Amino acid sequence: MQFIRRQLPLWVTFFGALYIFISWYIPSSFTFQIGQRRMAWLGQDIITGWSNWISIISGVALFYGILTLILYGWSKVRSRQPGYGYSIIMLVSLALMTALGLLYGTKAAPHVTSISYLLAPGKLQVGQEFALGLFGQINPFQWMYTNVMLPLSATMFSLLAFYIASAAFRTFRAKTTEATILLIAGVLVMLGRVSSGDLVPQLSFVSDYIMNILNAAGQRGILLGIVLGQIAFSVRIIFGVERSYLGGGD
Amino acid sequence: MERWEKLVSAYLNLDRRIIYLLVALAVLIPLIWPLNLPVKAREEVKAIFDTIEELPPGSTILIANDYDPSSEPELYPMTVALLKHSFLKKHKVIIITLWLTGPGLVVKALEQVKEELKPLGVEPKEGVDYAFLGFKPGGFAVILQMGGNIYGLETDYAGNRLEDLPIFENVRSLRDIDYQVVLAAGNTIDTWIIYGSERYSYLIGGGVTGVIAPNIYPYYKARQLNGILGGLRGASEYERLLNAKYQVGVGRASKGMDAQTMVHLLIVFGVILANLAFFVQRSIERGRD
Repeated sequence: MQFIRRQLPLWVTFFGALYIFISWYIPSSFTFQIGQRRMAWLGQDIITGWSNWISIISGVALFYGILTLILYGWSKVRSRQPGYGYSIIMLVSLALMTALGLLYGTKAAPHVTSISYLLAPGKLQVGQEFALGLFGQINPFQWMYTNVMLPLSATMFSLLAFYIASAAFRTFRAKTTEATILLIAGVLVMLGRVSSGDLVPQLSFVSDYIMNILNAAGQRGILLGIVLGQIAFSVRIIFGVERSYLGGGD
Repeated sequence: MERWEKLVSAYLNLDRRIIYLLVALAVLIPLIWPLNLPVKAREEVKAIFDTIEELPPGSTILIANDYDPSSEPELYPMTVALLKHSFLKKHKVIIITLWLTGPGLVVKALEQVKEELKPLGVEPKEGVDYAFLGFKPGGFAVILQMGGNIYGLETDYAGNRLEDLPIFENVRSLRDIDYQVVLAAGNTIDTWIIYGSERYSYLIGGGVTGVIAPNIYPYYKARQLNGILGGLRGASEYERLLNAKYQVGVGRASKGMDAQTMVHLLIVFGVILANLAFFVQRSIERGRD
């Protein structure tokens, strides 16, 4: 049991990683024949094949994500937890968008989907006429996306402008040398990156210098640090030094 | 002195609702009465425009629309401008999104662009002049799949098999892409560079939100990105370049630049005044001690 829970995953990780690592650096594919079908055992096709599996697993993870969200929302509604009203809105919206997508498809114009055909093979006209009457020539799913989801999401994000303005006004103080440098750089970039920078070319020049030279140098350092950290972490996982992904806390 | 102290204190403790009101006015007034402030195109924006401009007609351009509705104000105008430019130059356009809530924006952009280009006699056909692959889950795995065999993605957004579409006749992998622009609200630009353009050797440019723009400058300086469209300003610069060349009018980004300029000026002015007030208050307190 200990072997299956501890040893086996470590060996699978080690050989799996090694296999992909070697295939990554081989541009062509080594293949073998099974009947009519040619299969790859090393090289580029292995990378492509494995990436297919990752896409499939991502799709399944997405499905589980939605399922968990439904169960979580439903349990909140059932036990009348504080804020359960939001869960009702979430569940109704989820059900509505899913139904519209399945019935009318997701393209720009309304069209007959296989689901709507299966549900009402003899009454397609009624469903189409209903959608046309309610939404015009626009697909109901796309209509909801454009007129409900899009403005709501954009509004939520736009609220940041108000909070940032208020926070900057209250907290952006030149109390220390570092804060003063940040303040000056921030002000110059803010002015140089909008039309004021075009009215006063010096502002634009200084702003571009900060972004292209000073910022790029700092970001490059951060980026290299992150990547080196990722490599070190990957090597630790491959050689079984890092085992937290197995669970159990060791 | 006491009057000064009261004034400074009142300013530093300004009700946040007044700040919100000022920001709202700074946004609304220029949108209602445009100021038509100048916006000059920078090198990094011109680089993307020139690349699309100089490619021979019929070249294949891949647009990755990796953002959702929350970033629509900044990135959607870029999608529209890039699509317009590509169709005007008779390029073939393939669009994909690695973000789950992204497809609706592409559908909307395609409809808008087709409508706006119709009076100019440009009518791109689905499957021939453009293809929308929809949302594909898997992030970097999708890019690797496209690099090995694009047909592995199976179908486009409408459910058509890729090998049946004329646009994919000569496009079998990322190696057949002439140019790509990634419009990203997250870190997919890094992913496209690492697993796409670097591995399969093709040219790539990036359009990002203003918040992300500073993060991708190292790629631009290292020539791993040939150009950058940064935030609303980048979109506005591209719109103006396009309008100067083809007289197609400017879009929402250019109209929004006046509002953004006013809000920036308001914040800068407010922060500078708040700092002056802070120093006056501190000197008064020190004098009292």
